[in-house]
Amino acid sequence: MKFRYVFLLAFANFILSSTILQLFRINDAIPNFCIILSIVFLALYSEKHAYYFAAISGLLQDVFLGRMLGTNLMIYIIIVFLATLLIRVLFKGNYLTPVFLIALSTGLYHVLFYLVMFFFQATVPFHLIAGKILTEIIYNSVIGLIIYSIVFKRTNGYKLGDYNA
Amino acid sequence: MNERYKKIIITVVGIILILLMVISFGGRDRITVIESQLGSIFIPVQRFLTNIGNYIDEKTEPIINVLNYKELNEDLTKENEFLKEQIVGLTMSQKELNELKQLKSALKYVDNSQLDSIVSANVIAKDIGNWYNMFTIDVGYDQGITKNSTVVNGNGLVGLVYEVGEKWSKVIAIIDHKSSVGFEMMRVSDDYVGTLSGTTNYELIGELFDPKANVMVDEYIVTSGLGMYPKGILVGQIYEVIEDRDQLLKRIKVMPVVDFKKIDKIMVIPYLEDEKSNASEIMNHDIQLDGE
Repeated sequence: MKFRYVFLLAFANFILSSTILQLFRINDAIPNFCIILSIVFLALYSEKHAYYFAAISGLLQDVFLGRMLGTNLMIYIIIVFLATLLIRVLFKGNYLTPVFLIALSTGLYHVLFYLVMFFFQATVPFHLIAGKILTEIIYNSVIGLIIYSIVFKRTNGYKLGDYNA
Repeated sequence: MNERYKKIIITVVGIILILLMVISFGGRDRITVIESQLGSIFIPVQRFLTNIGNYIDEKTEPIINVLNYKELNEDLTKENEFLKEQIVGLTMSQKELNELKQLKSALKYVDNSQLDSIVSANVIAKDIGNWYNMFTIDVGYDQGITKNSTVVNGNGLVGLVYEVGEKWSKVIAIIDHKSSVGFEMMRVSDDYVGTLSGTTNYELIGELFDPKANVMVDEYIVTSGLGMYPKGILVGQIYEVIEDRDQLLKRIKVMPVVDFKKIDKIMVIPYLEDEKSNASEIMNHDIQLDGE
C-alpha cells in the first residue's frame, strides 16, 4: 500500500470518528479505529505503515480534541512498538491473533493514558470509566477481527483461518 | 536501520513528546498557524458530516425511544401541574420586577451585561476517545472568541473554551474532571455558595462552603460569578445531598440540565479579562468586608 493512502486513511479516520461514528456509541464507548488500523497495518503491511498511521492519527487527535499535545501520539507509538515485538512470535493466519493484539493494545492504551494523566493530575477515578473501557475493548476486538479478516484476504489471497490454503 | 538506532530515535521522540505535553498542558493562549489552518480545512467537511449525523440521530430517536414515551408523558404531566402552580407566584413577582426596572432606569443605573457579544456556533466534532467530553466548535478568533470564554446552550452551562484557532475552538465540558465551577443556589433568600467539579460520568459533585447549609434534593443551582463563568447561568439540579462529617463539608450530587450526549447548537459568551478582574476584585473586597 502506498504511503499517501496511509495519510489519507488517517485523515479520513479522524474526520469520520469525530463526526458520524459518534452515532455508534455503545454504552457510551466509541471504538478506537486508530488502534485497530495500526495493528492491521503492522500485521499485514509493514512496521513503517503502522508507525506513520499511528503518528498522524495521534497528532490529529491531540491537536483537535486533546488536553495537551503529544499524549495520544506517544501512546500510539508505544503501542505499535510493543506490538511489533509480539507480532514476530505470533502466527498471523489465526482468528485469535488480531483479537488478542487489539484487546491487549486497547487495554494498554488506557493504562498508559491513566499514567500520563496521573502525572498531570488530570485523571478520572478508574471505577467510573472501567465499564466504558471494557466495552471499548470488546467493541474494538470485534470490529478489528472483521477488518483484519477482510484485509487478510486481500493481501494473502486466501481466507483468514483457512489452514488448507 | 538497525535495532539500536531505532531505540535511540524512539527515546528521543519520547522525551520531545513529554516536553511538548508539559508546555501545552492546561491549554495554550495561542495555537500555531499550522494547527489553525488545518482546522480551517477540516471544518467544512466535519460540519457537513456532523449535520448528516444529527439528521440521522433525529430521525431514528423516536423509533428507539418508543417504549419510554408512556413514562415520559407521565413525568411531563406532573411537571405541567407543578409549573401551573408556579405561574401564579411568578406573575406576582414579575409585577414587582417591572416596578424595580422602572426605578432602575429612573436612577440611570449602568448595566454591564456581556449579553450583547454572544456568538452562536455549531458543534462540529466530538471527542474520539472515551475519557473526556471535549469537542470543537466552528467559531474562533475571527468571531471574537478568546480562551476561557463561557459556552452555554438553550438549557444551561456547557463548558469553557480551552484553545482557540482562527475559525475553530476546542471546548472542555463542565462534566470533565477538575473543571470546577463556582455555584450558588437558585433561590431568593438563604443563598449558599460552593464549587462543583465534574466526574466525566454525566454528573457533577459539589462542595458547599457552609457545613450547616440547608439544601434539598430537586433544587436548581446556578453559577455564582466567582471564577471564569459569568453569574446566573443555570447549571443543574441537585439529586443527592451527602453529609461528610469527617471533613465538615456538605456535598451535593448534581445532574446537569444540559444533555451532553446531544449537543449540536451552542452559544459562546466571550471572556473579557479586564471586566472579570474588576468584578473579582469587587467580590474579594466584599468578602473581606463580610469577614470584618
